[in-house]
Amino acid sequence: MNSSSLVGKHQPSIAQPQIQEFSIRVPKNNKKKHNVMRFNAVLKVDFKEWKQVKMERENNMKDFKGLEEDMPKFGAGSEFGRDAREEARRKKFGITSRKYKPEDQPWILKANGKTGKKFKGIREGGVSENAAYYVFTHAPDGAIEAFPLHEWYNFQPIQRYKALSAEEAEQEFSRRNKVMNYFSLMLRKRLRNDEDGGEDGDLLDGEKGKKPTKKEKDLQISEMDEWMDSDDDDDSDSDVKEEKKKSDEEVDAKKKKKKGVIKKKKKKNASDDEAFEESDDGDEEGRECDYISDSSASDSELESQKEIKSVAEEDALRKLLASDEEDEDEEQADKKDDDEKNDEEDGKEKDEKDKDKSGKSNDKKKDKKKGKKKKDDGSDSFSDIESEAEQNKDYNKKPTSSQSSRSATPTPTITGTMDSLKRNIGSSSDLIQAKKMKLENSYSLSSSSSYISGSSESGITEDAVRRYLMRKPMTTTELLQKFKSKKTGLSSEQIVTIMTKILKNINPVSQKIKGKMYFSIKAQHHQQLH
Amino acid sequence: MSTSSSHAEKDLDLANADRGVWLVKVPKYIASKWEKAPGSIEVAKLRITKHFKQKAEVTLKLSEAVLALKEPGEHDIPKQHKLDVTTVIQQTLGVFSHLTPNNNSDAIVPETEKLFMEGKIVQKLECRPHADNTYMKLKLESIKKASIPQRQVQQLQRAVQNFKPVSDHKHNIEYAEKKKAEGKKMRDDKDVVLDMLFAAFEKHQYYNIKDLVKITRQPVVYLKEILNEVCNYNLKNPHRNMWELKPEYRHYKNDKLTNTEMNKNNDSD
Repeated sequence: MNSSSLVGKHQPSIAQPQIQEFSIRVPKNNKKKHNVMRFNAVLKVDFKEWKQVKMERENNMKDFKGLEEDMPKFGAGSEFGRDAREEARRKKFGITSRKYKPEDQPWILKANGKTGKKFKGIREGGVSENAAYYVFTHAPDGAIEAFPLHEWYNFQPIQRYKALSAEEAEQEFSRRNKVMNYFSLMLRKRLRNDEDGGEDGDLLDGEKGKKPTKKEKDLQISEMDEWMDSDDDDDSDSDVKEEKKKSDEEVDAKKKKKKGVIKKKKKKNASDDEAFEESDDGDEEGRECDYISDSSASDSELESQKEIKSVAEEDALRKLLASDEEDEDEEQADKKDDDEKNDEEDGKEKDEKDKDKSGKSNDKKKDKKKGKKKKDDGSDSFSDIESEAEQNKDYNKKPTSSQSSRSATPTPTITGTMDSLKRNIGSSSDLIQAKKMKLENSYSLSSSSSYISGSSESGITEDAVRRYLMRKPMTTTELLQKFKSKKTGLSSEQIVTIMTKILKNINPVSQKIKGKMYFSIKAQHHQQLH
Repeated sequence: MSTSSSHAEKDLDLANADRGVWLVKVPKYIASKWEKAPGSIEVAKLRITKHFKQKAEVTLKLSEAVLALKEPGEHDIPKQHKLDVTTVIQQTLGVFSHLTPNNNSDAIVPETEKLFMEGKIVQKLECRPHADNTYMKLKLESIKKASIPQRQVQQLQRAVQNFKPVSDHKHNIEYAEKKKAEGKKMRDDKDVVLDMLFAAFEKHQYYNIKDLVKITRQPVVYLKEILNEVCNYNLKNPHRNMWELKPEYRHYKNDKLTNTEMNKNNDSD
């Protein structure tokens, strides 16, 4: 019986309108509740085809209870009156638990046995808010029976397969590509087989090509080695290392102090905050312009800022050195020295890169280097020594507490001639410097770059000195004072050594005013170097 | 019990599965009338008028008996309604009924929950009243009703006392009386108390002292004396501040669990 039969009970006659009348009853049967089940038309559900349909309420007891631990209700491990206590505890926190109502759970509908489709019917709200729904069916006696509809359930199919998670899907997707590329995979394999012979040859060639270069390097270093052994003992080496360690420790301690100082300064001038950003080129330059006209107080501030950077640089270098120093072995000291030198070279190269970053172009340096070399070649080395002596005189005239012990130090760049001179000096106090020089020499030989050992560590760089000299003429003492105020962690001797080297490199214009030697660089001169 | 049965799988009776039924949307005022009407009487008449080569007109006419079913103060409802017929599209609608047994039924054969397929909805009908006077009056009334604010201002002559202090609350009195009736807790024979305790610990492993006092009805001091002999007191979480039998006194079925518990106790001791 369907609607058509409902409508078409009387045979239609053409002439007059047909009238059918049904009486409607509303049977009172409270036990039976009528509900609507709704399926999407796409699913093509046909009730006629259903055989053996089972329905059940979904069991959401677990979800409802949440993540409660499974406590035994009685017997071993059970607590008396636990549920009641839990409930009371929750109530204390204002949580009143609702009771689990199985009749509020969605329906699970399984059509046509186990292999058939599965649906989940979720109750819909708000359908019968403003209107009531009735279902009209035919009673056996021809009347219509109306039953109120209580709930609407929207039935949706349940997937029988498991959906992939995002990661799994990703994995599968990548695998899909692989599968698709089997042909090209084979092709590639074949091609590779063909090429194999050629490649091997190439490899061999490459090895051959590489080997000689390596040997060259080795040779260089071994040369240095011989040279080193001739004028140095192993003892002195270890001394040097100890010295270095000490200085490192000092630096560490000082660094801590510095941090405190920096913090204070930050508080002082909050307006200059952006200047404290970790080394940006632009910042630095801006500052420079600023403090040319500034008082000396701001100068010192800037110096401290510079310090921060230099300390950071130093850190990396020290790490490199420290790793080497750990495996000290006196017997294999010479060999180790080689390694160290290599490492140090690396470190220096790194350092150079850092410098590049901080806006000082490498080209400039190379230019400088060239100039320096030319000078070395052209003017005889003796004149250099003379100037050195002059400088020393200067120091002696204005003695500071530390400089008194200092003896004449040869310049590092002059390798051959200075060597003999050094031997003559040969005093134990100079051993440290000699070692340094050696390192310097080896470096200048192998990579031929104007690096001054310890300078970057202490923050005394060529550029810094250059900047000072560009601003106004200075005596060496003044220069030294500038760097000493930075607390470089180096002994005054070391600073002096480094300073002389730097001055040598820069080759500033010197003029005597009131019996004092003033060094200065003209801005133009500096620019010409570029 | 009830939850397990309600989650059980039930067969859907498919005897009426291919029967076509009508879904009728009716106004609430009709629905309320129909709800009140007894099941045996005719509540309305459905009339299908078919003109030649035209759509069938379906009308609904409420019966006099239903119209007469009204409470004092209620307004008349329209008698004649038109039913708009639409077909169900884009979805498949079915009707199923759910038979739940009466809880209070003393039937010899216990009724079980049953599910029936009642048919497929083939047509949707919407019941519309004719816009006559009675309907307009009805609407007017409902609008007026809706426009009355739910909260109204009311002037008070005196302060309203909604809290009255009570010297002795009712539950306090009850409690005192109960206590009096019980009398003081008497120290029973130790064996009797132990029996009670063992019986209690058979059911659960852990007890709070309060609960044990309630169960055994012994003075706390005396009970603690006995408990110290046969029980361990847990100082640590889980089961903090709870008593359990000493390992030598207990034999729960779940050996594993008890073993672990024993270890725990040893640790704590």
